[in-house]
Amino acid sequence: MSPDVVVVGSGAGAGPLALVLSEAGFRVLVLEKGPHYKRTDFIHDEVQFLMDADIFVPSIDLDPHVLVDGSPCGPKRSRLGWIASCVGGGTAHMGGSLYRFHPDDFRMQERLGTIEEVADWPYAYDQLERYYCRAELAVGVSGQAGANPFEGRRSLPYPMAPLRSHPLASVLREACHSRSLHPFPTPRAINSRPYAGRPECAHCDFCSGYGCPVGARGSIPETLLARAAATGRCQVQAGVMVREVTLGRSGRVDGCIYLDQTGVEHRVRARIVCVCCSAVESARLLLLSRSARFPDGLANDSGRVGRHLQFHTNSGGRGRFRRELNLREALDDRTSFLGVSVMDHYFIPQNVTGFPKGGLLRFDMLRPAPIARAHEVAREGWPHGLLWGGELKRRLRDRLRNCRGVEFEVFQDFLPNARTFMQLDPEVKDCWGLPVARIHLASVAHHALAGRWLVDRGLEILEAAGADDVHASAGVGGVSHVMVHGTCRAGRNPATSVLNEFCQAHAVSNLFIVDGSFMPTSGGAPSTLTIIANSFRVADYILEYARKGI
Amino acid sequence: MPARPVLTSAHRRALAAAADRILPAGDGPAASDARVVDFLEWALGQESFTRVRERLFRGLCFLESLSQAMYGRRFHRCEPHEQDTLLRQVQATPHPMAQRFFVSLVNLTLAGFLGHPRYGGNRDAVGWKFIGFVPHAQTWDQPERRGR
Repeated sequence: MSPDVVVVGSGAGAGPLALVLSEAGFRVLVLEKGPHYKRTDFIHDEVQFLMDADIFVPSIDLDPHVLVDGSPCGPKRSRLGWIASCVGGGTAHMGGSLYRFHPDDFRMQERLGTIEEVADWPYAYDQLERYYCRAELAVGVSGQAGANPFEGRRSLPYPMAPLRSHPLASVLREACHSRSLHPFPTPRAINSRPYAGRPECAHCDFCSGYGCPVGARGSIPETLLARAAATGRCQVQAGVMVREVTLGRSGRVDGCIYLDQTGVEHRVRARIVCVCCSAVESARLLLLSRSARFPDGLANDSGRVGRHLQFHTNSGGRGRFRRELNLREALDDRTSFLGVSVMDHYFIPQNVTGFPKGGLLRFDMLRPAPIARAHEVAREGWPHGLLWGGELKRRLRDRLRNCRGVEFEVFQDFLPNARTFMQLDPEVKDCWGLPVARIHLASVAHHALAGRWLVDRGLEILEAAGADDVHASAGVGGVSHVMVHGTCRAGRNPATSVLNEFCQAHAVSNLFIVDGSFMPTSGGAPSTLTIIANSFRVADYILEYARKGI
Repeated sequence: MPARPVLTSAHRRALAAAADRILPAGDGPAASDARVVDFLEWALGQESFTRVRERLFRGLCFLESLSQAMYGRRFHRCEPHEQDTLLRQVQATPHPMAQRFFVSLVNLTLAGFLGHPRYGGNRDAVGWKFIGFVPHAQTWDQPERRGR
C-alpha cells in the first residue's frame, strides 16, 4: 500500500509533519538514512562513547562531506554540516536549548541594513508565534515565560517550570544583575517534571552530545514520532538512502527511489513529498534528482539550490570556582544545569563591526567528565604538542581537583555570503556510490569581531561572579558544526528563492523542503525550536492544500 | 564476550613503559598503578578501534627502532630519562604517522587512567581519586545494571 506522503529524514523538520499529517488521516512513510536507536542504546559512559564515535555522525570514510575552506591542502573530507544521521536527527543528541528567535531575526535587512546576502524572511514572528507555542508543548520545553524581557510576544507560558539549577546559578545571576543585565532560565527541551508520559531529568553527567537513556529530553522520536506512530498511519523506515525524488509527467513529484542497506533499489509513490534531511543533505538530494525538466536539480530553476548556506557562529569561554571560596557545598552539588542565559547583547553597538547584530550568551556547568576534561588539559600544550609526564599530572590535579568549571557559549548569526554554498562533489562518493556534498566555506569579518566582543562580555560576567582562570575558548567567531540553514531559501520571488513562505517549491507544487533549508538568515539563537515551529506551520498549510484537492 | 588478546608481551611491555612516562610515578599514582595497560588490552581489541590499534602498533615499531638506534636496547629496558628522550623524539617527528601515534598514546593513557574501572584501567578508581572525581551513582553504573 503506497503512502499519501513520503517524508525523507526524521529530525526537527520531519516530526511535526509526520504527526500532524498522520493525525489528519494521511498515511505517512518516513524514510531515514541512519539507524533507529532505542533508549537502551544510549550508554552513559565516556569509554563507550570513545569507542562509538560514529554513533551520531557517520564516518568520513562512508558518508562524508567535502570541505573547501581556502586551506592550502585543498578539498578534504569533513564532518562539517553533519548534525546527526539517525532517527531524530540532531534532536537525538541535542543540548535542547530551545529559544525562540527574536522578532527582528525575521527582518534583519529591514531593521539592521544590508550586508552580504542577508534577506528578510517571507513571514513575520507574529505568524510563527502560535506555532512556537505548539512546538514548546509538543516537545516539552521547560522555562519561565516573561523572564526574558527581549523575547517577542508570547501567548502561552512554557509547559514546564525551568529545570532545577545548580547553586552557582545564583552567583552568576547576581553578577549579571550587578551589570544591569537580564539573566533568564535557559529554556530546554528537558523535563523538569514528568511530562507527556516521559520522566523527569535524572541530572546525569552527560547531556548535550549524548542520547538520553531515560527519555527526559524531548527528541523527535520520543515525542512527535512516537505520537505519529500511535495513530497507526505513520511508519518509520530506518537505514534507507533516498537517492532521487522522482518527477511525474504532470510536472509534479510522484515519489522517490531509495536504496536499502544491501544496495537494492526500491520505488515508492506518494502524492506529496517532503524533504527534511537538514540543509546540506536536503539540497544534495534535490541536486541528485535531475530530469529533463530540471537538468540542474529538482526545483532549481533559480540556480539557488545550495546557495546561501549558513551555519552558526560559535564562541565561548570558561572560568572555575574553587572550593576555598566558601562554596564547598555548592561545588559538591551534582545538579547538571546552570541554566543562565543572557540576551542583552542580541544587538550590539554599531561601531563594533559596522553591523549591529550580536547574539546570545548561555552559561552552563562544565561537565564533570574526567576523560574529556583530561584531554583538554593535555591539549593545553598546543601548539607545541600535547602535555605529558610530570607537567601533565601536575596540571590534571591543579585544573580538575577541588573546583568546578563554568562555561559559556556564544551563539551568533552566520551571515549568508556568496562564498559559502554547497554543490555536488565532482569526485567523492558515499558508500551508496552517490556524489557527496561539497561545502565551500568562507567566514565574514563580522563573525570574529562580534564574537570577540560578545566573549568579552561573557568573561566580564564570570569575573564579576568571582571565577578564576577566566579565559576565552579557542576559535572565537568559529563555525558551529551543529546547525545548518539556508540552502533552499524561502522568499516571494521565484527568481531569487527556491521555496515560498510555506516551504513549498516554487516550481513543484507537491514538493516541500522542511528543515533549516528555508531560512534566509540563521538567527542569533539555536534554530531547532524555530525549525519545529515552522514545520507545524507547513503541516497546517499542507492540510489546507490537500483539502483543496490535488 | 571477551575480546581476544591483541597485544603481544612485547607490545604490553613497551606500552606499559610508555604509559608510565605519560603519567609517571610520584605525587600521585602512575599509569601502572591504574593498570592502564589492561585497559589498552581491552580497548585495542574492540572492533571500532582497529585503526587505532594499527596506528599504535606501527608507532611502537618506530619507537623500538629509535630505541635500538639511540641506546642499543628495547624501549622498556631504557632508563626513564632515556625513554623520555625517545618519546620527545617521536613527538618532534613531523610525519603524520608519528604525530597520530603520540596523540593516541596520550589520549588512550588518559582514558585508561580515568575511564570506568569496568574496562580494566583506573583500578580501584585511583585515577578518579587523584582528580577528586566522584561518579554519579545513578548513571555511571547503568550499563552494569542493564547487563544483569
